[in-house]
Amino acid sequence: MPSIFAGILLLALVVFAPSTARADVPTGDVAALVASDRAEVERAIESLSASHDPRALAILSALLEGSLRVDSRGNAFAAREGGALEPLNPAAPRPDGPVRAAEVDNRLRRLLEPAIAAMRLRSDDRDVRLSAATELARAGAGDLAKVIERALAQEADDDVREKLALALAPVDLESTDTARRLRALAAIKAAADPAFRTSVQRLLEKDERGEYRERNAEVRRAASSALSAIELHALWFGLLGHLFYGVSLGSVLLLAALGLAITFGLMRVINMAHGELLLVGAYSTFVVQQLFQKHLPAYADYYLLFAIPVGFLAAMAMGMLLERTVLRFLYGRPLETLLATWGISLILIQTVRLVFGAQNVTVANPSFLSGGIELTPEFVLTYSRIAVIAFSAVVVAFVWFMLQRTPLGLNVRAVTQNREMAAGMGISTRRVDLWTFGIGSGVAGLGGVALSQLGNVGPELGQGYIVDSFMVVVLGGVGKLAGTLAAALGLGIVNKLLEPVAGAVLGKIAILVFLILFIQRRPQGIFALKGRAAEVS
Amino acid sequence: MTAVESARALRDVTPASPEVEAPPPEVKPEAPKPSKRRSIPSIAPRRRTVDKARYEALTAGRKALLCVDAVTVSFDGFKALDNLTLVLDEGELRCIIGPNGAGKTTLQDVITGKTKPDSGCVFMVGDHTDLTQLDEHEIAQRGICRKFQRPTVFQGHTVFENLELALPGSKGVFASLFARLSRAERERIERTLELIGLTEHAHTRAGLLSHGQKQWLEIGMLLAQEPRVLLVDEPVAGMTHKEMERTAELLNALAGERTVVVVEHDMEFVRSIARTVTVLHEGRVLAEGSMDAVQNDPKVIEVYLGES
Amino acid sequence: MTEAAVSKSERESSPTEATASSEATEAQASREVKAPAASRLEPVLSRRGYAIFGALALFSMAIVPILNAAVPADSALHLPDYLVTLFGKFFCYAIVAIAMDLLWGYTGILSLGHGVFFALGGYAMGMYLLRAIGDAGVYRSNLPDFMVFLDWKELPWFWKPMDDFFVACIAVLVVPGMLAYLFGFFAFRSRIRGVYFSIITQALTFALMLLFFRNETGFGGNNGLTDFKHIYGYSLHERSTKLGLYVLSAAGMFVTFLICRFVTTSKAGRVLRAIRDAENRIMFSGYNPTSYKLFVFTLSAVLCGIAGALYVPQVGIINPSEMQPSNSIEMAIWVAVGGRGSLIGAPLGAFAVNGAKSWFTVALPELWLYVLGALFIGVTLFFPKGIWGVLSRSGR
Repeated sequence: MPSIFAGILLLALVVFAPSTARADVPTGDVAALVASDRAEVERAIESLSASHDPRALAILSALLEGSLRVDSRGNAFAAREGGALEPLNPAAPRPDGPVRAAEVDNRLRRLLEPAIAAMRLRSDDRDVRLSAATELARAGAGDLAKVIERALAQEADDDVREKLALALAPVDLESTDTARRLRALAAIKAAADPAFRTSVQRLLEKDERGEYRERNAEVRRAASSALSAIELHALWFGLLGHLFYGVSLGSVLLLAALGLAITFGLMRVINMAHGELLLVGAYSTFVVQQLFQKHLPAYADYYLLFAIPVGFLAAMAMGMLLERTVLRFLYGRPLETLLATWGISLILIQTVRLVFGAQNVTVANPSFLSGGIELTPEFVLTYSRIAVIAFSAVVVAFVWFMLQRTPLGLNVRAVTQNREMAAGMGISTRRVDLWTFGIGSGVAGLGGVALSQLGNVGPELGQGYIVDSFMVVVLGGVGKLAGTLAAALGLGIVNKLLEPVAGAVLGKIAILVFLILFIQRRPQGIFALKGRAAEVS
Repeated sequence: MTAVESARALRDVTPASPEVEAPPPEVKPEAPKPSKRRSIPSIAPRRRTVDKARYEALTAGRKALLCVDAVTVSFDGFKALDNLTLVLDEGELRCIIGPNGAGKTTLQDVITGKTKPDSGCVFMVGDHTDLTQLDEHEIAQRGICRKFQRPTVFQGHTVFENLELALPGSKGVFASLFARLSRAERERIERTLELIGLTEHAHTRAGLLSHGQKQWLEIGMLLAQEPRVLLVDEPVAGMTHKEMERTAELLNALAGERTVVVVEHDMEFVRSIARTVTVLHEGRVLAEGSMDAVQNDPKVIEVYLGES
Repeated sequence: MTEAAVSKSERESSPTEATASSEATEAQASREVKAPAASRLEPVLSRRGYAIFGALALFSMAIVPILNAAVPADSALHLPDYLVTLFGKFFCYAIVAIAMDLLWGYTGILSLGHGVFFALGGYAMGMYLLRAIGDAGVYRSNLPDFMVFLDWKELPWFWKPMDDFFVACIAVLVVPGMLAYLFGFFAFRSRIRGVYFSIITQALTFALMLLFFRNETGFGGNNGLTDFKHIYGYSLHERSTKLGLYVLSAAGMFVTFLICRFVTTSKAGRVLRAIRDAENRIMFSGYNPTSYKLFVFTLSAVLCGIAGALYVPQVGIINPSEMQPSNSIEMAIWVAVGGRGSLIGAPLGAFAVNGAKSWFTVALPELWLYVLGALFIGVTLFFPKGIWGVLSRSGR
């Protein structure tokens, strides 16, 4: 009961206080903040926190941060980075005389936090109140329960009320007052916050004697509807999350498979060393990173921009070397090509092991790619994944442009459709083969650069992608860029959606089985041509 | 052996040779039996046997052998065959002509089972089975053989082995695992070798034969296979005038005992062998009849002869 | 794959085999004298062939054991135990190589999933061997150690019949055979051929490897099955048991050779080669290529299963890494190195490649992958007919 009286008393104080606080922030109070007498400081804080003036809020916030400076005339300033002083009292833009730093210790902090929260919650500005309430809801009421309770009683805005009720929910759920428990559940239901799942569930459980922990049926009903709201919300965000990771995985698969779509899809070269071309791209990124760190540490973040062309060119050079020395002797003999390129992949992997070691190397994300957009606490869009999705879109556009809009692309399409005819028209099929393979390999190198941003870079990196890449190309239909795109994204999304249901391994197996069955029905892939066109192409 | 002689020899010996165990095929109409194997699945369920009424309607009043009934094949909206109906009589020599894209090759593909039509069926007289529901090898076992434009023989096998593989008989896996070559079969192969003039090359790998010898070997294989219907695709493409004459004689000699369908582009050649000509145009039968009748048909002149 | 590309590759890569046809000619000539009512066109082996075959079989199944067991250990002719086991392993590989050659060299189907069949045969045998331990395992339980470790209370149903040696032997044949039949049925029926077939068999290995890596699948997960003690009552640590297993492996290879030779010299063998060279023509000749392919794929898988079952008791372990795609591809290189389409080259290749592997992985481990890689490239580029191709050319 005393608490209620105290509450009413405080309420009265809060209601009647503003009339006195309309005036300027008293400089005396501000000056007292830097006094050496603790009692004086505390009194000043109390006095300032009664104010409705936003400047008082700013001053106390600065005090809490430890950035408050006060000049000899009691004007407040906030110390900013680099030593600049930002005036908190517009009437005094420059400090008069030397400034003193206000000191803050834990005891003052305990005093300041509820005071500031209370000030923000009774601000005239609805946005300030809402953001304060949202912060409280996220952090939990903690010691501020009383302050929130007070603010809630006064608050008119529904959004703010909801947040406040949510902030109080952990306390309210334990309350003996049915109305408070119901209020908490209503707030939880509206917010559908998964953090409350277990505490809401507990209300619906039975104890040892087989009776519900929550005796009140109405509260139980509210609890179960709050719980289903939470579940639904979690489901949606889970789905969204899987979708995002699926698209992200899909774009990785796309980058891995795009080069293959060119070399296998257009040239019919079964390149089992394709995974190692990814490896070339990834290790190029690593080397560029090392060089930047050593010689240009100031620009270390920009190594990635440099690594993209380097990865492309390195893999392209490697691909062209392979084409000249091995593959061109094996055109038209796919099984032999398969074996020879497997041999090449063994040699490349072993070379990487000998040069860079068998352990994974670290390729760090540049600072502008670390972090992410937090949509909800459980769902963060990391910048590196967003960047890979964007990058793969750019690469697809690049490949499409090259094949459809450049003279080289025209020649490539001509040669792949009818080699003899193209040769008869004066196209050097050997040179076209070389460049096609080179570009396909270069695109694989770009894939490697992207992969280095998402995970570990080690000698076996490429092996993990080779089966998947072939599956993407076969599923998408040989020689169809759109098919490759659809297949990669589809596989990525299906994979990520299956994972929580079936587990990563079984999901993968399910996909492989599906693919094998799919090829049964449509050996030509998703985007199949029928009849004569299919036989010609 | 000259062409005439060999053609005569073929007519004399091949089909009616007494040692041949297999009875003349047309005597033994097979009872309609549903195919056990499923073929490429189609959306609508299809009947495996031919409609009785259609069967009667198409075969009534003639010595029909092979009927193609209302077959439609489309590739991505383009109709290669458009509701095409064609009846081939026993022992006739039929030429099928038509401009490029008329559906000649597709028609052969449908008959031999390489292409499954969207609708329509193909059947042989005496058997109600819809051939379009069967696989290539099952159709071949029913006596429909195909000669490709480019000679297709087993390059790695000897000439003798090529012919051995072509002989009729049980062609299942286990039968051939324990297969033995009977004296009659051996003699039959030897006779065929003589006919195609490759006796001394019996144990040469087929891949080492000249182009012409391969052509003859393939013909020998088809004859050894005992076909009831022989589909021949552009037999004279790239031939000299003399070779064309020789081929014409051969085809004429083969007809009579078996049905021979010649798909040809070359009008000159067709005129030299043709008894009945079917003109295809845009997947349909444009005209059918004797060469003279067809040639004077204004429709044909317009779409085909007019062009050339 | 387009028709044109297929036929082009077939024409260029079909290794034709002069030996068989010349032998056929000989046989032909000899039969014309006798002219029996009905005969095989080709004998399984010529008279000279049988002589060489017998000599080799005698050497590996009698002389080698004598050199190991009867010749005193300090003699220069003595064959140490580890070599016997090594050769035993090689004979198992040679069985796989012959089975691969039947499929690839004769029928033109390159399977990159034969490691699965090998491993399945091995697992079937390994399950029996693990059950044969009884309660002598680390945990003194009647259950296999890994199940105790995973806190399983009961033997899964598929383990129960494996207590019996003969059931296990049947499983060695049936499990790989069934898988191959089912997989082949779907693949060949939809006319998946050439590299497409190779790629999906690789996906099959990959999927099964992932499956076997899981503990829940019930085959010991990552660690596989190991710590075997007895086979059919004989201790696996005894020299006599090891010798026995060695002789069985050698016998297995010679029998495998005869079986495959029987198939390839029969009419079915000629159909298989015809499928490789001109699948269209054989189809229009009235043969069903699907059933021939299915037969040869299944036979080849069963033979691999037997090889796996002989292999496991000799090496004492079977785990999912046997199903790695790279293992299956290595099997193909044994055949390629030895020479395709002769059945003789394949075991030669298996011995040569694995001999080199054993030596390099001890002496120069860093270089082994280079050597293997170079073998893959070199054989395809410069020696498409492999060792046997070179030998038989220079022998003439």
